[in-house]
Amino acid sequence: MSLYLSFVAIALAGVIGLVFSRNARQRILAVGGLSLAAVALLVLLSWAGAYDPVSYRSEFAAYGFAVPEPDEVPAMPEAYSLVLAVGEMDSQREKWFFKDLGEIPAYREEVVQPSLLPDKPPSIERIYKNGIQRTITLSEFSVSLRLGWNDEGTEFLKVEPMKNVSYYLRPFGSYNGVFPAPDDHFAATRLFMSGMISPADGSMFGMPKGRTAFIVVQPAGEFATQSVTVRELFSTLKPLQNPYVNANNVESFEQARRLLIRGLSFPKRENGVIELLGLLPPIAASLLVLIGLGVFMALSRNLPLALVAGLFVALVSLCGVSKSVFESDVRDLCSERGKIYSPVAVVSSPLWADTATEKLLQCARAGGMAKWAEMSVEEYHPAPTRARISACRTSNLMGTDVHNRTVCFVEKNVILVKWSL
Amino acid sequence: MKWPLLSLAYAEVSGLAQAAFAAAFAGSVLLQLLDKPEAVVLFAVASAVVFAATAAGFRRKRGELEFILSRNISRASFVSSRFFVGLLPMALAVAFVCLNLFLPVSDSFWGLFVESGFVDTPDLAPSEGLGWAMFALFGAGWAYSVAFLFVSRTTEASGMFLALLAASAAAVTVPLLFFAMLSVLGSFGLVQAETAYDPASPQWFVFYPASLLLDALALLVAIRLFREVDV
Repeated sequence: MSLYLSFVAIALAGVIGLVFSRNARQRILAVGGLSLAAVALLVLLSWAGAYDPVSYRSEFAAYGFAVPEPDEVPAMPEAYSLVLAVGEMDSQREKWFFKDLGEIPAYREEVVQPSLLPDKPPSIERIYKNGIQRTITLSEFSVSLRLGWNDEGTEFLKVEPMKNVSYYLRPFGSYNGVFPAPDDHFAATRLFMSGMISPADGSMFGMPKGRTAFIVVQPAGEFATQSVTVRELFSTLKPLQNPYVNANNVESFEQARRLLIRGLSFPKRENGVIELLGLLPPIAASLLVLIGLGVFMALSRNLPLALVAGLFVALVSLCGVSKSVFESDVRDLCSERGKIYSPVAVVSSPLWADTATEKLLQCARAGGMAKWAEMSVEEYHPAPTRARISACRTSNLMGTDVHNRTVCFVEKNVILVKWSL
Repeated sequence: MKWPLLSLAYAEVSGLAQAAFAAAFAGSVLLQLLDKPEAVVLFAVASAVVFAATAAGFRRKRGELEFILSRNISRASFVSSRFFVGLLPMALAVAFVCLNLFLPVSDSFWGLFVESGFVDTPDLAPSEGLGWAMFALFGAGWAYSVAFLFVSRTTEASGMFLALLAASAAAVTVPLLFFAMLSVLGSFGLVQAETAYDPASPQWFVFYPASLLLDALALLVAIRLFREVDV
């Protein structure tokens, strides 16, 4: 409706400009302004809405992981290899890749035993694990990672965000399951999940971009290797199965992917006209200025009225084009053609939260029952999150809207909660 | 006061009034720039200064003033008409901006076009917003009165700027004195000193009617001083 309104507003501005113009110069200005505004609106319409869920692509990079036989791995390996597995999801693609982080030794040699006899040299004692640590800075993800063993020989992994991180970033830590047991091929521990709004082609207010990472720890050595992707990693190699309930180990690809979507679903987006205008890409902002300028020219006989009308028409045009983009995004949401990112694209539309919720509800109802994801409730504000998840459950709907702030939506048997802060 | 006199004076401030309403609507409703108390107070004071400078600048047009006063018009009605013709649109524009502090004007407007995003819940509680609105409105009235009094004495543009500067200092002095009085009374335990910082507190509601009396006093002084002027 607001798209038609913006056309009507531009036409109205032109008519008023023509009717109230006193001389030929003002009439030329009115016609020129009207044309400028209409052309800018059409260009804006053609520019927006480039996101297409059907052309969404997935990329899985492979890495050569060691596949040792059970009898090849010593009970106490001398070193462990560290490989970072990173998942990224944005409006264009889902991408998983690996990054080699080197090794961490499992022992150190120290001269701790001085000789009691003068003719005997001091003995070198080999100390396993105790106090061995390694710090790795992952500046591209704004976190630093510290792992190893403390002075008592207890394994640990700690991820700390760097200062001044402006987007949603949730680090994890672990005190068990970081290093694999002798009969496991590897141990995978989640490191962080993050979400942010980033510019995307044809998107008015940017699209969510999510990232997650987990670390794969394997005994180092001269073992046979096999090239696998993240998708095949957990089925081809044997991961550590941590018996602790709240362990941060990743035991399947779906679990890793769920972590990625969770991060994606929590980017903080501002509310308010000025805040949202600040998210506009330069081309969209320029076209809106042209629309406003056109209306201003058309009504230039009365400058205060022209100023207000120019602003109003530009902003209503923005609403209209945003609605058009939104409708393009929801087109394939409920069908099989809709990809994993589609619900996120829909729910992240800042101006159309109610319709997005309704649409997701329809999809959820049409898709039958879905099981609840094991949703952690220790996000930034635990109590409200817990209450909202509880409300979503109570409503017995796969998606619902609680106080216009929370959207629970379904994605392949997983229900996520998007919480607008 | 006579209607022709009022309409003559309004013709002079009509452009400014339109601009003020355009700025008020664009700033508070369309762009939500004026949704914080500080921004509203700033807008109110700026409006007061600009309107006062326009409405009270009659002595700079000597020929026109001489012609008007040669008609059957008293000096008191001339000054009063100028005073109210500037005050009324200023008060209306400021009141419109103040509405956004305790009513969801902008949200309701944008709610006609979108469902969320542009619709932002106000930060202030309605009672607190009302307190700030009163502060902005009565503060603007007081600033306008003082600026009108000072500027009406000037005959040159340079003098007007100095008068505006002095008027700003004088306008700020009264709320500061009131604040100091509250602090002193608070130190004796007669009022709650900690609520003196909050314009929504009951103590400040004493200031608002007092400011109306001060406005009237400023107008009377301006009339009295203009009587002594040789045009």
